[in-house]
Amino acid sequence: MNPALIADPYVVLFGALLVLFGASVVLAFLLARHGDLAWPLAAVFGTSAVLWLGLLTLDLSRLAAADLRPSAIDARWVLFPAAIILFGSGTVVLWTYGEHAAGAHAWEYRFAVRLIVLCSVLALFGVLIQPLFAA
Amino acid sequence: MPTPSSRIHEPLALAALFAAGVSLHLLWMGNLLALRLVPVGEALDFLPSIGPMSGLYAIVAAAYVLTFAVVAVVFRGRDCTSAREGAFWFFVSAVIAFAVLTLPFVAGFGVTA
Repeated sequence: MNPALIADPYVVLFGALLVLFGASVVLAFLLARHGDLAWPLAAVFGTSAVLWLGLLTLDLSRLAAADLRPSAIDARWVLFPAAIILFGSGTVVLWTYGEHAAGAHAWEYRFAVRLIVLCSVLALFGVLIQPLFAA
Repeated sequence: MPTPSSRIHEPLALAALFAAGVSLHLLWMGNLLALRLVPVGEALDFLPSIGPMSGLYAIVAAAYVLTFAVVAVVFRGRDCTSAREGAFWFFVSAVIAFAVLTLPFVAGFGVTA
């Protein structure tokens, strides 16, 4: 089989994260009116956390395969754990609140969920463009 | 899928927000210190094959688990209304601090005479 025909796992993971980002934007903004959407949004967040973990593992394994070792921490290496932490926390918040997330008292949690969605896309583009600024 | 319930285990949500805030603050601080102080970067080099971020990842993971557990236990069975807003703004401040202070041109900023 021609190796060029095999999809790069990195591209597949990025594509999947972009699709999930699209889904999470819609779900996060409808959450205030439809509390039932908290469950699918929790699933999207949980899947995104796993995909971010996959991206980090893939990056580290590529470095190991090339016998390279990052000599310093840079923005790229802190974006991965930040995204995993944010999505993991968002999953816990949504799983805990469930359909009650549409309640008036839960505006802090809804705002936090929207902030997580916004940060996720910024982190994704940060990881994409970071090599352009690397020394 | 869980069945709808009238009971909300809010301490878990509160603990998740607070633990995320603590972890993000640790991440940007660790990034900045490791970038500026060579001994800090060397001290974080837990796994030589991965580099200094191995130590930072381990510390952040431990801090998240510890903070989550402590907050969840402290607020277990208690009304979280008074702490909700505080945890939320702590989380927002952590996100903003992380976003600004890990930007390469901010973290790497230096003044030369």
